[in-house]
Amino acid sequence: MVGKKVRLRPIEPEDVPLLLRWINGSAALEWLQRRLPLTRRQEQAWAARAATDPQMPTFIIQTLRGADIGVLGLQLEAGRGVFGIAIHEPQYWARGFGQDAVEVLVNSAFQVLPLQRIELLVLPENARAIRCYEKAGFKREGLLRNYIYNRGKMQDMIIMSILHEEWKRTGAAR
Amino acid sequence: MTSHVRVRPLARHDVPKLRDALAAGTVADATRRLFPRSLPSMLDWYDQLQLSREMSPFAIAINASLIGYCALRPPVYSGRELVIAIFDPRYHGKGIGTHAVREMCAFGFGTLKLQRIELGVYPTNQRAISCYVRCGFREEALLRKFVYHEGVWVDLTLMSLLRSQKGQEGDA
Repeated sequence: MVGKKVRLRPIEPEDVPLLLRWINGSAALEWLQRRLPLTRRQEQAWAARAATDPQMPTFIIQTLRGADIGVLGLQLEAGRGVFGIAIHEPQYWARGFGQDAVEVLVNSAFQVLPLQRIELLVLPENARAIRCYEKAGFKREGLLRNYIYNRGKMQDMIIMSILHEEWKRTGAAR
Repeated sequence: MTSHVRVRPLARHDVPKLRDALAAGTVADATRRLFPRSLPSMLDWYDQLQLSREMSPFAIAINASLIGYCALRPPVYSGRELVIAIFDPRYHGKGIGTHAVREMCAFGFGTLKLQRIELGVYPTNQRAISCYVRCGFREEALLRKFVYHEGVWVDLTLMSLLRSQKGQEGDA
C-alpha cells in the first residue's frame, strides 16, 4: 500500500523493540488513550496479535525514503472498521505524512474489505487530527461523553466516520 | 400499573419463554430480527452469561409471567450498554419500560458503580427515545449505516446517561 509520501508495511517480529520504544516514550502519547508503560513481553504479545489477527489489520507507516514513523490500523466489527493511528516521530508531524497514511489505509480498506463505514474516536482538543480526518473525508457524528478515564478525569471523545458510499463518490479515483 | 411489575435477575426457568418470545418476533422491528433458536442453544447462552462479569440479564415480570427482557452488557463504546424489550404489545405505552429502565440504571450506577450507561435506538423509534429521555438519557451521536436491520444498513442513535448526571434529571 503506497501513497504520495508513505507506504504501509506489515509488522514483523523484529519491529518489537521499535514499537516498545514508541509506546513507552512517544510524543504522540499525549493524544492517545494513556496506558501504563508496557513490558517487552506485553508489547511482543500485542505485536504478535497485530501481525497475525485478521480482525485487526495493523501496519507500520514508513516514509517513501524508508524511515519508520508510526503505526495505524483497523479493528474490524460487523460491517465497520474502527480506525486508529499514531505518528510517533514528531519531526514528521504537520507535514502531510499522517494525512497520506490515513488516505492510503481508508482507500485500501474500502477496496479490500466489505465495510459499510470506517469510524474513529478523537479527543476534542486534538484540532490537528480532526482537520486531517476531515480532509480525508470523515464527518463528525457526535460526542461520546465520559468515554474514558484519562489524565485524572473522565474525558469525552468525538466520533467521526466515513461511509463506503462517500468514499466511492470522492476517494475511489485517488 | 408499574406496581405489579418486577424487574429481577433472569432465571434459568425464564429461558423457554424468552425463546418463544424471540421466535415470535413481536419486537423484532424495534430490536433485531433473529433466527429462531433451539432451547438447548438458548440454555447454553444462559449458562455462558452466568460466567461473564460484564453481563447482567434481567426479567421484566408481572406475577409469574415474563413480559420482557432487559440487560446491561459490555458496551459498544464505553461503560455498559442497556438493552430492553417488552415482548407483549398489550403492555406497551403503560410506563413499564420507563420503570424498568430506571431500575436498571439504579442497579448500574448503584451496585455496579458504573460511570456511564449507553444504548442504541433506531432514530425512527420515537416512543423508545421519549422513554429514554424521561429517564435522563441524552442523544450523543447519529451513527450512520451502523446496523444491518430488516435487510438494509440503517442509522442508529447513540444515547447515554452519566453517573455525574444522576439526580439532575428525570431519574432521581
